[in-house]
Amino acid sequence: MTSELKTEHITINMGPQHPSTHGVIRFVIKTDGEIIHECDPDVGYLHRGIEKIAESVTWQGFVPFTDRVDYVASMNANWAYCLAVEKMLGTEVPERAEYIRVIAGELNRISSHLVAIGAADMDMGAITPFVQFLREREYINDLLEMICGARLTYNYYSIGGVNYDIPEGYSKKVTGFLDHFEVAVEQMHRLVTYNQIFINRFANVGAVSPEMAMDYNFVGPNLRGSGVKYDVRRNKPYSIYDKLDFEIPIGTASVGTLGDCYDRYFVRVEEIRESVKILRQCLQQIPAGEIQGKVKNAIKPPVGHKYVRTETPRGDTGYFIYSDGKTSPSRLKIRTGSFTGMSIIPELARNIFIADLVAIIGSLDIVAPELDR
Amino acid sequence: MNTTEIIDLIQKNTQVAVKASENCYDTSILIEPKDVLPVMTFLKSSRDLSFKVLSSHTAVHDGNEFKLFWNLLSYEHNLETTIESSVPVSSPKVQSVCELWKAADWLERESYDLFGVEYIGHPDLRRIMLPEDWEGFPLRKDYQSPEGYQDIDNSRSEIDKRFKP
Amino acid sequence: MNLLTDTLGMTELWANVVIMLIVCTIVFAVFALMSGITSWAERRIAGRMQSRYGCNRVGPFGILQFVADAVKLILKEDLIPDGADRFLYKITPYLCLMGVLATLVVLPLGSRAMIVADLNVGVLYFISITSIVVIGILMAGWSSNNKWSLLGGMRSAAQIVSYEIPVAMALLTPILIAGSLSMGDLLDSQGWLPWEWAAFQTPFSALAFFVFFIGSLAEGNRTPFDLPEAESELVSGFNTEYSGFRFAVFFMAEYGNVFLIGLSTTALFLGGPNLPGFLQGNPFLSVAVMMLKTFFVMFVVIWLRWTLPRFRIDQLMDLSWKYLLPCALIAFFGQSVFMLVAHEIPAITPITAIVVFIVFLLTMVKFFGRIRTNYKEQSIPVGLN
Repeated sequence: MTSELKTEHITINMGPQHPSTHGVIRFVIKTDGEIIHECDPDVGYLHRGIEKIAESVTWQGFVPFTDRVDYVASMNANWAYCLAVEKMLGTEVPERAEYIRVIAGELNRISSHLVAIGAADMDMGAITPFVQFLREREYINDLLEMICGARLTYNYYSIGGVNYDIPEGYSKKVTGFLDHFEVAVEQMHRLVTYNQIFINRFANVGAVSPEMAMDYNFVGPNLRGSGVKYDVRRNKPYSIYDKLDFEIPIGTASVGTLGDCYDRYFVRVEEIRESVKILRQCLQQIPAGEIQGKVKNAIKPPVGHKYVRTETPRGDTGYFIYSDGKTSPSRLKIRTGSFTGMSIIPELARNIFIADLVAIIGSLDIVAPELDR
Repeated sequence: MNTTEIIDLIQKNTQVAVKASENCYDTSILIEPKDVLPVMTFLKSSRDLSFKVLSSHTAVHDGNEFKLFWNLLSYEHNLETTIESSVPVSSPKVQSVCELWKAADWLERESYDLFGVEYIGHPDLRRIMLPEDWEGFPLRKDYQSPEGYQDIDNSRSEIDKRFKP
Repeated sequence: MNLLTDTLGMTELWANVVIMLIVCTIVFAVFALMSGITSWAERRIAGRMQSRYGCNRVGPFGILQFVADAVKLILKEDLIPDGADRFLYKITPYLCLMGVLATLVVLPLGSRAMIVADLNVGVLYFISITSIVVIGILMAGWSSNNKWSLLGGMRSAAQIVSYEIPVAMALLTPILIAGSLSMGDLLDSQGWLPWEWAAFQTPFSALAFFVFFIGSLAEGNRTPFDLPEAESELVSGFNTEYSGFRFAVFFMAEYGNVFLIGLSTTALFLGGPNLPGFLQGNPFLSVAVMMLKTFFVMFVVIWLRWTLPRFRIDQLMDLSWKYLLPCALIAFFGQSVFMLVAHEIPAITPITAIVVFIVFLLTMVKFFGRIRTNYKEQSIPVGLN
C-alpha cells in the first residue's frame, strides 16, 4: 500500500506593514509556496470614520476632510464634494473659477498618475523611474504651492468657487513646465513602459473582461483599461469639460489580453498625455472674472438626497448626500474607486504567483485612505 | 428616459407596486423591501434599461427606520436612477442583490458593518472596516463611543489625564 | 619563507602555516575593503542615476559610509527570533561568507604571480566552492522561523542551482581556448589587445561571455534576478530576520560577490592583467589594469540593477533552462568546431577576432548615441523661477 506525500497549504500574512501594499492593507493568503489558492483582503486599518465626522461639521467645514480621503489627488477629492453640494444648492460657479478648477484638477491628475505609475514600477523592481517621476512631481507641487500654499492636502476649493486666485505670470510658468514635462516623461517611459521584462510581468496578468469590470463596478482607468469607453467628464459632463477637446484612452490589448495589468497601466500613461493637452487649452482660454459664486454664509440645502459623480484620478468618486435641512449633512457616503477595485482581488487572485498579486495591486492603483475612509 | 417612464416599465413587467418619491433634487423609485429582488432583476435584464452597474448602496438612519438606497447606472443608454426602500430599525432585514451585481458584495458588507442591516442571501456577511469583535454599529444616530477596546482605555478620565498641561 | 626558517628558527611546517595565515588575512582584508567600497559605489551611483546625491555626509564624497554602516551594525542588539533553530541561525552567515570568500584564493588580483593558489584545477575549484552559498541560504531561510524567509530561501536556492549549469558550460569555451583549467594558463592565453581577449575571439566565445555574465548576476542574486530578496514582496527574503553583525556578514558577502563577478569576468574573458610587451612584469601596472577592468564590470552590474525591473520566478527559470543552457551548449559546440577549422587554416583566428570586436564597437557606438539623445531631451529647462 503506497502512501502519498502530503503537501499542506500555508497561510501567510501579507501584513499591514509591507513595502508593497500601497498603504496599510492586509492580505491573508493561502499558498503552497508560490501559487496562491485563496486570498482574502482585510481592510479597515485606516478607517477614520470620516463619514461619521461629516455629521457633526458644517457643510463648508467638511472640505479639509475630503483632502484626507485621497491625499494623493486631493484637489480632485475636494472638487468631488464641492460639486455635489453645489448641485444640491444650485449655485452657479463663475467661469474663471471653473477654469482654475480644471487647471488645478488636471495638474493634480498628472501628479497622481505619476505616483501610481511610479509605485507600480517600484513594485516590479525598477526603482529608478519612481524617483524620476517624483522629481517631475516636485515641479507640480511647486506650481500648486504657488496658488494655494500647500503641497499635498490643498483645501483649495470651496463651495461656489476657489479660495485664492492664480498669481500673475502663472500661465507662463505652467506652459514652461509642460514643455519640459512632455519630452522628459516620454524618455522615462522608454525606460519602463516599453521594456520587455516589464511587459512580461504585466501582460496577461489579472485580466478583467468588460462584463466583469462592469459587474464589479470598476471605475476610471481600471474600467477603461478593460475596454469600456466611459468617462464621467465625457458622458456626463460637469464644469467646462464639454468645451475642451480631449480623447478618452481605452485598453486595446496591445500586448497580452484585454483588461490585463498592462492595459490599465497604459491607460494611465495615456491619460497623462491627455491631461497635458487639456491644460494647454485651458491656459489659452481662461477669462477674467470672479473666483467665488454667491453662497449664503450658513449653507442649508433643502431636505432630500442626491448622488453626484466626478472623475478623480482613481475612478469616479460618488458622493451620496442626504440632507435634512440642518447645518451639517445627515448622511454622506463616499464611494471611491479604490473600494470597488479592491473587491475584485479575491476573484482575480486564484492560481497566480505572489509576484502577480503584487503586480495586480500595483496596476489597480489602490490607496489605502481612499479604501477605508 | 426619466423616472416616470422607468416606473411605468417596471409596473408593466413585474406587477410590483412602485411609487415615485419626489424630493427637490430628483425623483427616486420607492419600493417595499420584499420586492427588491424582482425589481432589480428586471432593471438589470431589461433591454431598454440594462442597468448593469450598481454604483453605490447605502443606508441612512432616519428616526426609527433605515432608508436604503441603491444607485444604478446604465452605460449603454446613459441612464441613472435611484431605488429607495426602508426597513425598521428593530428588524433590519432585506434581500441581498449579490447574485445580480458582484459589486454589492463589499457595499453590503460595509452597510452591515456600520449600520447593522442584515442581508438575506449574502454569501459572506461579516465586518469589513471594523475589527471582528467590535460591538455596536457606529453610523447609527444613537451610537455611543465605547469606553475602551481590548486593552486600550478611551474613557474621558484617561483622555483628560493624557492631555493635562 | 627563508626569513622565518633561518632567522626565527621555525620548522618548515610552522613557517608554512604562518605564511598561510598572513596571506589569508591580506586576502580577507582586500575582500572586506572591496566589499565596503562596492556598497558605497552602489549607493552613490544609484543616487546619481536618480537625479539625487548619493551618500555625501561621512567623509569626502561619503566614502567612509561603509565604515559607518559597519560600526552601526556591530553596535546593534544581538537578537535571535523566538523559535528559531539557534545553532543553524548562528553559523549560517559565516557559511555564506565562506562560500564567497574562498573563491578569492584562485582569482588573480594582479598578474599571474599574484594568485594566492594557482591550482591546476583553478576554474573547477571556482565553480564548486560557490555552491556552498546555496546551503547557507537554505539554512538562513529555514532557521529564521518565518514563512516569508522560508519562501525566499527556497526560491533563492532553486535560482542559484539552476544558473550554475549555464555558467559552468559557458566556462568551457575559454577553457577550450586556453587548453587548461588553471587560472594562470587562462590569463596567459589572452593578450592585451581587445581582440585577443577571450570574449571577442569568436562569435561563440562572445556568446559564452554573455551567458557567463548573466549567469553570474543570477548567482549573486542581483537584479534583474533578485526575486528572493525582492524588497516589495518578501521584505528582503531569507535575511529578513537577521540583524546586527550577522546581517553585516550577509551584506559583506553580497557586495563582495559583486566584486567577484567583476574579478572573475575580467580574468576569464576580458584579458585580465595582460600588458603590452614592453611594460610586462611591472606589478603595479598589472594590478592597475586588472582593477580598472574589474571596476568597469562592477559599474555595469550596478547600472543594470538600477535600470531593469525584475523577473518573476517562472520567467527566471525559463530563462535559465530554456535559453541560457542551449546558448551555452551552442557556444561550446561552435567553439570546438571553430578550433578544428582553425587547426587547418591558422589565419582564420585573428580575422574572426577582429570582426567580432568591430561588431561589438559598432553596437557600443549606437548605444552611446542613444545616451546623447536622452541627455538632450532631459535638458529642456523648466523655468519655474
